[in-house]
Amino acid sequence: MPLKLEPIQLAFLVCSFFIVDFSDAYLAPIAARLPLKGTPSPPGTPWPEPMSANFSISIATIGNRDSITFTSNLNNCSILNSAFNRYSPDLIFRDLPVESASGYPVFAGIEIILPSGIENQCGEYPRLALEEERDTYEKYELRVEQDSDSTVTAKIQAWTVWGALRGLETFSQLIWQNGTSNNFFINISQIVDSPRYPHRGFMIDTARHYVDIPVIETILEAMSYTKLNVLHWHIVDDQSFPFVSKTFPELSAKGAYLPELTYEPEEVQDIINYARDRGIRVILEFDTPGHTHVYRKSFPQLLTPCYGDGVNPGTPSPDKHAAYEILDPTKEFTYSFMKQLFTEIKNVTKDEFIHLGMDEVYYSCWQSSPEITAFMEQNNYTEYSQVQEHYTLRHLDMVKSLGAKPLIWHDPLEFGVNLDKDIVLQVWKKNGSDWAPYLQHALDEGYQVILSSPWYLNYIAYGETWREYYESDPVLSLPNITEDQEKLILGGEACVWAEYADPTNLVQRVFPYIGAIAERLWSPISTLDKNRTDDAMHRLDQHRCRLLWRGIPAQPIFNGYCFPQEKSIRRSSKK
Amino acid sequence: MKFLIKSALLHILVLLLVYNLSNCVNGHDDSVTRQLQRPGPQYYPSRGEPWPKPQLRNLYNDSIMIIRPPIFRFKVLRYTCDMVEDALKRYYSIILKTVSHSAPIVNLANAKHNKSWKSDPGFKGYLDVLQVDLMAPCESMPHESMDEAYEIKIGTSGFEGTGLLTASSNWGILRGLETFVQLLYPADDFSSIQIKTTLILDYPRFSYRSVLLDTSRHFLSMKILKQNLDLMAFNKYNVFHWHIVDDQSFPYQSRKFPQLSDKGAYQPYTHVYTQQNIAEIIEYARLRGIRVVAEFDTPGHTQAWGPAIPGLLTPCYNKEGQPDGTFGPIDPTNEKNFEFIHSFFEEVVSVFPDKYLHLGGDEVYYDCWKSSPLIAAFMAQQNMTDYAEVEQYYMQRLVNIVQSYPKNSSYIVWQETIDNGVQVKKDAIVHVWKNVNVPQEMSHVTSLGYKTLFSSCWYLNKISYGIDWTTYYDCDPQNFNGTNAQKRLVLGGGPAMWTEYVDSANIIARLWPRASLPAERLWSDANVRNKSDAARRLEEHRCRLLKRGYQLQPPNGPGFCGVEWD
Repeated sequence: MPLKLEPIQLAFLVCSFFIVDFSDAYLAPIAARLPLKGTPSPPGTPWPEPMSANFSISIATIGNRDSITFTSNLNNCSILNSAFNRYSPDLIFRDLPVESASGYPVFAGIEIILPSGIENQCGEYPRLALEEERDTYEKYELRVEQDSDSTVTAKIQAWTVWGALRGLETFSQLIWQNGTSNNFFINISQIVDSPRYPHRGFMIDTARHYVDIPVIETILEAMSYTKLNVLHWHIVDDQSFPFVSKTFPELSAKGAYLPELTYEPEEVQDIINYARDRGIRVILEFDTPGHTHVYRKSFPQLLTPCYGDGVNPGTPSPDKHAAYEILDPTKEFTYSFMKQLFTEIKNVTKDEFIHLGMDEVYYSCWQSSPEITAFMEQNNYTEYSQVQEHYTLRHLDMVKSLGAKPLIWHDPLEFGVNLDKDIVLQVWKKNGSDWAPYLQHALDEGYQVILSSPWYLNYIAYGETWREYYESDPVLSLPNITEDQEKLILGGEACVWAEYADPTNLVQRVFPYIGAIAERLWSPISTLDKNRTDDAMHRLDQHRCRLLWRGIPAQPIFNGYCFPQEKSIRRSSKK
Repeated sequence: MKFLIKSALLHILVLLLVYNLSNCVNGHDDSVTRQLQRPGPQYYPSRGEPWPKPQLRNLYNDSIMIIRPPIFRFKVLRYTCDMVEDALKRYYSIILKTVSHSAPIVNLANAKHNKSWKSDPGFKGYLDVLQVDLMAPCESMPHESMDEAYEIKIGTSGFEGTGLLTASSNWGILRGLETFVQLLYPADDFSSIQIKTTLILDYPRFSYRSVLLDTSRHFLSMKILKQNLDLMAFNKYNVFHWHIVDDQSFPYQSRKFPQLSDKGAYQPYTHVYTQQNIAEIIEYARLRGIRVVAEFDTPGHTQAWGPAIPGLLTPCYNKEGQPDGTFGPIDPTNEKNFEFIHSFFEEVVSVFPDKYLHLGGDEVYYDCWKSSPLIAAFMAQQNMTDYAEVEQYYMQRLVNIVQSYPKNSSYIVWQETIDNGVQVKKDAIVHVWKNVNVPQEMSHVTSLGYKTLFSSCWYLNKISYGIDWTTYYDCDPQNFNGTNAQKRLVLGGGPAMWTEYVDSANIIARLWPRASLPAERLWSDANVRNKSDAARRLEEHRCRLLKRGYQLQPPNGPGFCGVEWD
């Protein structure tokens, strides 16, 4: 097995780079009396940290801008070809000329090696890796090797096209510029890499504020640079309904903020394909039975009429509930409407999972309603959670009958609803800063889980908040977790609820902080040695400079600068 | 997880009875109660209400006039100058942006045929000309006692069918033009740009209204500095407090001592402000009626000065009594340092034309001085017993030097200077920034008779989740016990954006529109404090500036502007 570099070896490496200055990403202390902690990483250090990597001090020079050439034994694969186009000289060198440095072997291209018989993947969408294929689904081995005295090549061995994409991203991060010169280098190196978890996501909320499509594309791009593989799209909510349904066009016609602030099904499809090219799944969330207030504008009969004045349906009650709230579980119309809507959604989405929400179902409206009381008597229900369960189970069965796999927030479990064990739960609750009991509860009940509790990036605070994200580990935070339970953890997601985020601040707010979460979910558990968080700061800073270099306006994590200069440009609209 | 705030739901009841909610989407209703509707946009924007709120505004019977942008002209009466002409061009293009960004909304071709406003009983004609009456010749440089008052009349009695902007200085004309374009708003049916008939008499409550940017923790590009100056003008700020250097880097490129930025900038070619850059910023600010007050903070916050000027910083000593290779504040025992300070600040006051220079003087830590046998010897020689006296000694020498220049210059110091007992001259200004015992400190400083600036509750680099602007809005520089004379010593102040976690990638969105709250506190009458009124106007103001192309984050929770930032 290749050795992992210890800090002391890194220091040795640093000293061995005879001509390198480390000004491509530079941090400065907060004050003279508080020196910076951690060890700066050499340029060309990838993020997230690979499972195992061995960097030699031998380096090869990049001959010119056209030296990054790709070959593969898998021909005519659209996903690979599109990746070869993306990892272009413009991405890696921007507009800089590239000059060969004399006295070094010259880099002579990159070769992708894939098993035969996987051609069909080129037309597919990425999916949640099955348990038996997790060791290979996104795995790659990257060797930058000296072929002869004068040439060096890179070889990426992968088992799927998705693994090849991850390898290409790592390869692109290994190339570094020597200070102010136009010389670019790559170290002779061997990397064996595979993610710790198969589900590494980011959730956007396009209901509180609309997010225009170029911004979503920018996010997908930056996600691929950070090895995240799921975009969880919380597309509608109480505030607005920007998804244009062909079945029920009134939903967005009356529920979108403005007619322009919508997503046509074709646009959703484009985003799904844009994500697929980068090995990213798109999971659509249509949240019910709560968070549905927007339906009142087009289909008010879907919502439960509340009796705020105790007499009349459709009257609100101060501090308790609105006039109409929560889908009405007593009416067949609700179920038939949802079946039609989700039939359409199933056709739009390409992922096997649909996120069904199910969070924050408040009972006060139901409690006010004589119809709900009658419904409970008729069904012998004594608890409102049974009403919630009634809806939840019918809705889950319906969605399963459409051939989709349901993913839901863990609220129903917390409310004592009996769910099938094949439902995947997303754990988001926290009690203060304590979230581990919620995760442990879901695992004790035997559910597969996706963790989000410690990773709500919308809760901004002053300072180095990424450290807490980085040090929140789904396994190490649970003292009583069993080995079998560890296997139930599919991964995690960072979330940004958009009350205070929109295209003016969203990308900056997420990147590079989400990198901390991406490394937690990708890299081996051994990276979580708290002493290494300080080292991680330097690598994360380097990653943020790399994101800036690629046109992603990632915010700074500490005092300092990127060289040659900060590029906070936003990619122009592709519309 | 999604903050369906129950307490808010109660309001829906009232509203449901009054409104058909499905018709609220475009939010063109001025009703104050509409803002309570949730979920959905948290606040519906006001229409044609200026930010900061003018001192006096009269409206007349819901009557409106229509602006036809292709026809509309400014007409200058009496005095004008390059600055005024430049502003007229700028504001005309802002009017065009208001129109084009309201499209498809304001369709001029349709408007021509579909003059729906003609049937509006409030319609009082077209406002095709705004007369701009500057009553005195232009002043060239903005200064501490510039007159920013102005008056606007739109179709008022005796002025039917016309508009007039009057001011006795060009600074008032600049502020009035900003207010004028903020009065414009699209009609309900988007067929036109409207303005309500109005009388406005306006002037600032405080004369010093500043925004501090720190270009040392992170370098900020010229583009960002200019964008920020634009936004300052849109909010009637009049001082750019440029905290240009600090411990982390020294981007100021000095004429006399170029080694300071060669060795102290993050990068000596790309991360510096050249003399030409600085002149450009000063001119850009001048045209917008904004002073540039530079801050060169000493004797602490000077790590980045050290490499270029050997002997400037105090060497710190280890326990064995040997220099440990680290350095503390400027070394006041070295007489040569005062020669350097004299020479360097002489350059600075010639580069920055404003009368005031900010000398810093904050956060001097004594650990290094305490370690140094040289400082100990110096203290013994000077009969000092307290390290604060060493600091006082340095600051006294510094202010004496700055007072000695032939230029009629004065200075601003952070509060520590006064807290430590330094005597500064009477037209010096003390800047209160600490957020502890604020009223006591304000009482103390003003009781000593010093002119005072206030920034304590406006450190906008400190962020937190949710609606934080109410805190900034509630805070008042004159909220302390003192005589009227003491209150009058408060010149103003403003927000600070220290850049530990901020650079060109996120600074504009993080600063704006949060900095609009201190702007209103500093400009408008002290009684302008109604937060639900402010919320609606802030929503309009944010969307208005978004339409002008600036990256302002949402201040109020869920909602939309119709035109998103791109």
